[in-house]
Amino acid sequence: MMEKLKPFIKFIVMVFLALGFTHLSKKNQSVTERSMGSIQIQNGGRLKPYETFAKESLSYITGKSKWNEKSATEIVTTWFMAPEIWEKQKIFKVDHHELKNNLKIPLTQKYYSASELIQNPEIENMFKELDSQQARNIKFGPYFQAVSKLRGQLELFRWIQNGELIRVVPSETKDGSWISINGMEPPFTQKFGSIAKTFIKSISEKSEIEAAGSLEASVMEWKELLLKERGESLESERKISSEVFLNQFHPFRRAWVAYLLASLCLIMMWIFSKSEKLVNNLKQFSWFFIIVGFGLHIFGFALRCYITGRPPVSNMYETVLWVPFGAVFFALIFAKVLKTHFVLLASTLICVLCLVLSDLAPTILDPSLGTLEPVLRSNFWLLIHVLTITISYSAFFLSFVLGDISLGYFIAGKSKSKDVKELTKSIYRSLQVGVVLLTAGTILGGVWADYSWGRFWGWDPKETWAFIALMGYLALLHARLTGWAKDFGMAAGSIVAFSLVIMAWYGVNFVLGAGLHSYGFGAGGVEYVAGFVAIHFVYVAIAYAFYKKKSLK
Amino acid sequence: MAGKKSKYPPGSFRWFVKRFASLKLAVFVLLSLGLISAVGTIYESLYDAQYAKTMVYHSFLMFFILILLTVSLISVMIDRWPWKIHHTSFLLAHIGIILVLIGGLQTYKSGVDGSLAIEIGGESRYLMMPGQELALYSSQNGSSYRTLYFESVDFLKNHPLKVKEPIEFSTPDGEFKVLDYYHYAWWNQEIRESKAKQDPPAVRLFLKSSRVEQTQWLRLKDGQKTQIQPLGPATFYLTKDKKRVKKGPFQLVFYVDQTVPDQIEYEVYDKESKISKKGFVKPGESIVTGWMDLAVRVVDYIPHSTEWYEYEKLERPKGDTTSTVKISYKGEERWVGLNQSVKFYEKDKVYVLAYTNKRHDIGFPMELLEFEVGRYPGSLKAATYSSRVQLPDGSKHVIAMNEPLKHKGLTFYQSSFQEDDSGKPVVSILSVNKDPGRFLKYAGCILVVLGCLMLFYFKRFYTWGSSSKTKKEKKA
Repeated sequence: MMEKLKPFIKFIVMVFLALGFTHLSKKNQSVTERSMGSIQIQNGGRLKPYETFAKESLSYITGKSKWNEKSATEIVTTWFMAPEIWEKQKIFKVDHHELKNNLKIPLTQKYYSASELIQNPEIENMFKELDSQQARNIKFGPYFQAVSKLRGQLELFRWIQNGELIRVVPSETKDGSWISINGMEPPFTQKFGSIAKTFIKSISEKSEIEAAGSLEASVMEWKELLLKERGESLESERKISSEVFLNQFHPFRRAWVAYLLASLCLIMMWIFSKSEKLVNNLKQFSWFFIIVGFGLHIFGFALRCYITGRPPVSNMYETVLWVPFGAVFFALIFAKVLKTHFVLLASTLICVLCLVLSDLAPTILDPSLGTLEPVLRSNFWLLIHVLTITISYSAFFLSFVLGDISLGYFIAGKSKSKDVKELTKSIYRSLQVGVVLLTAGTILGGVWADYSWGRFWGWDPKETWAFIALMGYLALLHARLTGWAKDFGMAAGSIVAFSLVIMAWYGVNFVLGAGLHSYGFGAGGVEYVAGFVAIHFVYVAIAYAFYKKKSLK
Repeated sequence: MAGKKSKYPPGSFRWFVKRFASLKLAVFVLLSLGLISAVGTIYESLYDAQYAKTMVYHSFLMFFILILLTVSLISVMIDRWPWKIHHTSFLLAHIGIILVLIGGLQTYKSGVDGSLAIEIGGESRYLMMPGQELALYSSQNGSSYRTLYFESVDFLKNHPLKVKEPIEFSTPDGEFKVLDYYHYAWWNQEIRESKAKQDPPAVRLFLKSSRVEQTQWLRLKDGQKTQIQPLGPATFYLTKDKKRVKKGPFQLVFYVDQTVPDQIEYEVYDKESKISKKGFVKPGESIVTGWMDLAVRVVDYIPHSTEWYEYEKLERPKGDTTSTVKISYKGEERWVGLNQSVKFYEKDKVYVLAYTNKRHDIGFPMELLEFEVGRYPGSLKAATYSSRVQLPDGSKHVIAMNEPLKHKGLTFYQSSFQEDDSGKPVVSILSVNKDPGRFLKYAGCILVVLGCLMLFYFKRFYTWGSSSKTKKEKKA
């Protein structure tokens, strides 16, 4: 009886787990967010929900997504509705040590108020120095980047405080820029006034439900008015609500949790490989979690594509989401074709690493949906070329993690294990896929460059590093043909060569881009990435020592 | 390896082929190609793209590696002769790479890659090219010039202090010598007094009102009679010729007589374009215009002036820099910045030494009718830009981002634009390009991709594993 019920129980458990991953609690949303969040605002060259604007602004100034447990929407609204109460609040996050030193402000403090920064006697000279750097077109080092950021923070705050940035009414002029709340005319003035009134009520009164109701009603009236008067300039309500949904739902966060569970199942499978029954159960669960994670991953991409109207590979953040996606995609195919679960383990580990990074480091990996540089707009070749190159990184990433696992066997002294052969085969397949895609992608890059700049190859650092990575992997594949790289060589080679991919993917923008010379490490997490690479080099060296010792015996 | 020696006598053609067909050599070449490129990117980060190109990507070592690559690719194909069906993918990929390399060489030898800057409403036919030239001209009357010397120079590779024979131009009056060179330098411009009577006059003004406080130079250019400088609603004139001044509102006109060194005649025009004030002014004295509560003080008056540049040497580029070369003529030493010139006066003639970017005549003028910048709504971020141009045959075309114009073998791409101080675009910059190697590069690329696909995925359709076979051959 119990045996018969088991599949059924398993099914129920899985359904509940799936619901757990996709459920969105409305309680997470504050009253303000729920009502005002979806008001349309023009900012940064596009139309976005007010909530997105508030979150981006709050995060730029304070480095946080909430302030004192209050939502960004609520906080930012009070900046322009009650500007004076924020003058002395310590909300400006200033990190740079030298900058604080020069301003002679307490170093131990993390947050400073607008008034103490503005009235600082040093600040004017500091900004003048910044201007003189700019006038000579000198690339900012970390210090001037910090000064520039501080100025940006102060300006953003001022422009929100005086209402100039709250551009919520479409204008009827040709250039398409919207009118701020300062320039509004009736009937917009009245309707916005009633939002302001009900908003103040909702945050000050105790009978929350009632106040919430009237705020929602006034926002509704506002939207109806806009639709009636300036309907043709508005973004579709569905797109705006999709973005609000994306802000609340965090599909990629949910995805990494699923991937993490999948990788735990796979690791247990690996450890308890003796017990066939357990392995079978774990196998089902790991597949289930991977599919759920993959589904959420795709869903997140689809939402971003829908909102921005372009594929999600235009900045570092988006490629950090895209590469693990490719890794799972290849792993699912390899797992079916090569009958190995190592690729699945490798891909879920990649996903957890990348998605957690993208979730935790918003200052380095900017998740906001930005506009594109002119040359990158509406270009089919760009799209294909970037997608191809970055997905080749997925294959190389797989081979890298597989190499890590394989070297573990060498350290454990099990270099003759059947698993090592299986791993080498998977590494080889990943490298093949990677090399073909990188070759094609680099060539497509040439085609694109030829098409938009008139030159096929211009030794631009990004393209050069893709080329260097290709040379590295080609050398590895040719070394395999000479018999130099066997099980150990392929594993070690795929780890070492991946540092070239890291350089092409990350290093060109964050190490070379910032200028190797005067600035050194520190900007954009370079020290962590360098540490990651260094640890792997040490790991390869240790594995080599064990391998040599063993083979000498 | 040992087995092969017996097969082909040392020194024979096939013996050489075997040496160069070695996979170990291939691995070595691939790694060195990667390494040298990596050095190139570091150079680019430290210096700039042009520096990396001259010192690394177009260096002798790079050519050597690429030739080694080509030889090894050809050798390995000869070595596999007679070819079998399973060699198809390997042949395609390798032939493809050779084609790409030949295409690259062709582009390097006879391609054109420059930029064309055209003012809105103006026309141009000369491309600015990356190379540099040094030229010496002479003139007897100051209007028609004779070219005495003309030489391509690359001071980065051949620094005047490091070469055995620095460049020298000799003339009947004396010798021009190149003494020194800064690849990266900051410059400061000032206007100084000149001994040469041919040099034009200059006036330095200090403008003061409740709104502005600024210094302003007015200076005639060589051969010019009038200089007009608009400043807000006001217009400033500096002229040698009274007849050239048109009446207009809010004008301040200075008439210079270069033979009178210490005073200038002036006229102030009021709102109704009538002369409201006139007289003479000496350096240090002020003129109250009577409009916009503006007072103008004449700080300096130089009857014969020259633009003088001071250069500060930099090890690495930092912001806007230029290159500059130091020359001497009869004991006088002068620095000449890139795209600048210096003059040396003799009794009956003038010598002009010019240090410029190479120019390339495209053979026809291109006229810029309109230029448009599309911005992201509600921001200053440029989203698109496009130029409307006219060719000599009268045809009009739009060149936009990703929409180039092809004409007479040249391709014109919208690359960037320049704005004036008020943010209004004034000059459109097109990148112009002729790539004779394009066809070979594309053909080669297609072969490489086809070859790769076949090598990795369709191998099993032929005899299994050309790779295992080569392994055996190597071990034999």
